[in-house]
Amino acid sequence: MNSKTLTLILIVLGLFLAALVTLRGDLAWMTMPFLAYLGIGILQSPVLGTVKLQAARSVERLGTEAGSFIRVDVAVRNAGADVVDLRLADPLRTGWRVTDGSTQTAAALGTGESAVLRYGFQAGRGNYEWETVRATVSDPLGVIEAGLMLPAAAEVQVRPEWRKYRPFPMLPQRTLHTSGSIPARLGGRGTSFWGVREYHPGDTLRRLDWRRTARHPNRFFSKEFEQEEIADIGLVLDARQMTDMLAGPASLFEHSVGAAASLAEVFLRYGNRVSLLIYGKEITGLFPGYGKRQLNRILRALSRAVPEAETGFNTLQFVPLQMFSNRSLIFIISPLAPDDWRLFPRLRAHGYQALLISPDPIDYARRNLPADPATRLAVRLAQVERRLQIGKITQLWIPVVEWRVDQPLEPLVRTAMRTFRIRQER
Amino acid sequence: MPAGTIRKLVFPAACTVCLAAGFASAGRWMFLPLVVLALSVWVSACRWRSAFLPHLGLALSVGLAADGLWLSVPLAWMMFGAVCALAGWDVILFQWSTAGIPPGDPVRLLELRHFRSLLLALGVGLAVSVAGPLIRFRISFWWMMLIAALALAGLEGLRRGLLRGGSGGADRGG
Repeated sequence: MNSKTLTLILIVLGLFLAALVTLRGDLAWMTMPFLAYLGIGILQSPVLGTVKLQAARSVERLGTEAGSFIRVDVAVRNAGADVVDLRLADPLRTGWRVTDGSTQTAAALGTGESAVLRYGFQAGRGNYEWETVRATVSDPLGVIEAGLMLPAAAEVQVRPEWRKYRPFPMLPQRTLHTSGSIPARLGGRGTSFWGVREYHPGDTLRRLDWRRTARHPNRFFSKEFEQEEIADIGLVLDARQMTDMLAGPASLFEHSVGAAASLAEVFLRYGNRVSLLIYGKEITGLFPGYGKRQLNRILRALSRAVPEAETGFNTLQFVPLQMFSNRSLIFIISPLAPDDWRLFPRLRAHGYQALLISPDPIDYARRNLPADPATRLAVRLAQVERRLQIGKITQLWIPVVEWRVDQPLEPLVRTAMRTFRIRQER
Repeated sequence: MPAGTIRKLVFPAACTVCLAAGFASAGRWMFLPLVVLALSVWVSACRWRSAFLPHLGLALSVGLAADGLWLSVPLAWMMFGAVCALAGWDVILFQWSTAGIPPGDPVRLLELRHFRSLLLALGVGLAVSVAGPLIRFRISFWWMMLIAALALAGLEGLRRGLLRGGSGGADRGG
């Protein structure tokens, strides 16, 4: 019973009661307009068995990155024989900002007629699914209402915002034996000069080192170039709520997700094999893969990633390293919680190369804190604690990118990769 | 003033005029401030979208009309006042429920069906309520109670019977 019907019934009862108490027939007659209203509503109310509605939803995403505009059209057609008074509504979800149209509409539909619920909204990164649309069928006066959930399924993804980076100068310990863009420290086909060796039958004449051949009669020498191969890269994204930091509607985790998406894009663009592990309440793993299809998989997984509380994994120590091959170069994106440094000795013990990208939570939080002496002291203490933890990691010869999220990440990673490369070459 | 607001205010204004005229004709001047209070509730209900203001306006206006009948104010004014209050309440709730919906044929048909039904309900209700007191017959208190209970039970039974038409009414969208 809706509020309209309830009000009318209360008024009718009140008037009847007043008529009985005062013994005034006029008061009883006054109930007649209200009873007529109720009666006509009830007589015209729809018989649910004869109501046949068909719904179809189409979702269009304009723009591909976070904050993109999404247009939703839900068409409902009356396939029954009677006219139907209908109200349609789609529930509004948190984080949506409806910028066009409305999430509810009303219409009276004759046989074969359609009504369209059309609205547009802006939403952040995420995966949005609809199963049904809520329809309320009623009599013309709205006295009797019946709710229906019409199947109208659709799905749309708002992928994380990523930046296009230039390739990084990587020198991994091990490469996969597929031609790519990373120097493999092996002689073979490539562009950089690697060395000279004696001619083997089958070597192309174009590679003959004529100068050396001229100095050694009856012997031939071939030039070798450094083979260029692809790397096996693993990305680990920390999705624990304990490491996330909120500043109004913005979150530090969104920066981490953006960094993971950008790195995956640049590595896959240059032919590398990339896998992803999202370490939150549940561990989401994407096994290694190549190309645009893998990028789509990664972006889809990242669009669903949310920082989750009550995780059983209080430290990064329990990252399942067996997911990555022993040739992998692992990028860990984490603001770091206390004791997270324990992962890194494990990584070194298993022989992985790793790089830590750590969005700075203290710098991120400091902007919203008051500038009083107590806060300054607390910030300093937190920074000391963080420096100690990062010191433990760098002692293991693992490069750390301390990332203030208002800075561009690309040059920081590039510098870290360069030091990484120098260490490898030593 | 926008056309929607004017449309919403027509019936409450008519209700106020009817009630004020009725009380004035019977010399019950002390009720006029209450009539003005009811009007202010109606105006607030038109202006601010509130879940309870239209219901409060209706209850106040019908209460005043019932009071007027008890105080032997002319019946026609009070009946018209109550009917106008019912119409005003319905129009305000309907306007709120269709606010923000882009105009089109389905919405026009909805409005047409709604106002046709409202007119029918008001016409039948007003005719019966005005003509009814002219028909005089004696009925005992218990018979009256029985008739009222049967009327309410009948309406409820009718409502249930109509809704029991079937559980499914939705086809899968193509």
